[in-house]
Amino acid sequence: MSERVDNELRRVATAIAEVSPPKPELPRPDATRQVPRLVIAAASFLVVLGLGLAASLLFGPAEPRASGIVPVPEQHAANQVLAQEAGPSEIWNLSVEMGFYFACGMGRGLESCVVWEAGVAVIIPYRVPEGATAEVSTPSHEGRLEIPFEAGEPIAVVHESGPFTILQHVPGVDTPYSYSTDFPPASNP
Amino acid sequence: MADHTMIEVTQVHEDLYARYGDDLTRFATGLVGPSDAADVVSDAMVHFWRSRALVDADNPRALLYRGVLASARNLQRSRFRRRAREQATAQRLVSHDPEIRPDVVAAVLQLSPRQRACVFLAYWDDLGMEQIGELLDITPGSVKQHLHRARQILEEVLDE
Repeated sequence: MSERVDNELRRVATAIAEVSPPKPELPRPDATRQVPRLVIAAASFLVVLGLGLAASLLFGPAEPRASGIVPVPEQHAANQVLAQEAGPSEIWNLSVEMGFYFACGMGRGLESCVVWEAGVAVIIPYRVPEGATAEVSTPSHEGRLEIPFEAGEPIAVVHESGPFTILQHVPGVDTPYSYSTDFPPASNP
Repeated sequence: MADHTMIEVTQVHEDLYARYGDDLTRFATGLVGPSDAADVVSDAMVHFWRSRALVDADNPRALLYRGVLASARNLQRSRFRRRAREQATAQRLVSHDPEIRPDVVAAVLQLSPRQRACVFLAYWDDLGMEQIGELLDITPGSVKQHLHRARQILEEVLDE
């Protein structure tokens, strides 16, 4: 590899080191750094619930669903809120897009995760072909949801090999949901 | 794992942080830019407080680097903030050294966290592949691949 590449990389690395801030104060065991995340998670969950309630008030109740599932406007053809409980090795995953509440959870070690952002859709480096659909089956409801993703739009996928399980703790529903996709996962860039 | 008093744990953390805190912050800057470097380091240290993994670690320095890398990777998963962060970092670097080419900076900032980690450790810390591999818990072969890929990308940019 050329010397000029090495020189450029060295220059950039040097600049990075030189603009580096001073090291932060060492956080202590009673550090409050966790609190902002919990506050964000709680606030985001309330935002989602609020949006769901507003949608149900505006558009009326959808057909009966398992307890804890909040319907959203029919034109979005998607009407599930899947609440994911975060454990110590898990990350809250929630995506809010186009009035569609889609959440999936993942455990330690899986690379494809949807990271919780305060009420904002988040990122997964996967691409979905236009018109992709997903099937959702639950103990009390089976159906095919048309998820109107735009072509090329990122979507959360929990596991690279396709079907994956969302373990959720929706109030009133005790058994895990099974969620399968009918599109092949793109390669992770 | 042996039981340790909080005083012992605190002492271990303070000693390690005194020794490596500056390097870790520079490393974090290489991964996420100057604006978020402190947060990344702090998050990693909070994690270590909770897990107490540093106390009995054979190679605490390596563990610290891996913790910072993991914290940086979590941060990088948010694309919305990442773009803004990288733009700010790029501007900062170019302002700092006007001879740096913006397209080179942009190319480096497009590297994955692990690739950036390898680049920074190789070109700032002058570490060899074995040493980088030990810090990041990857094989020297993987380090070589990451560096090769980074150099390839730069080569393409410089040839344009």
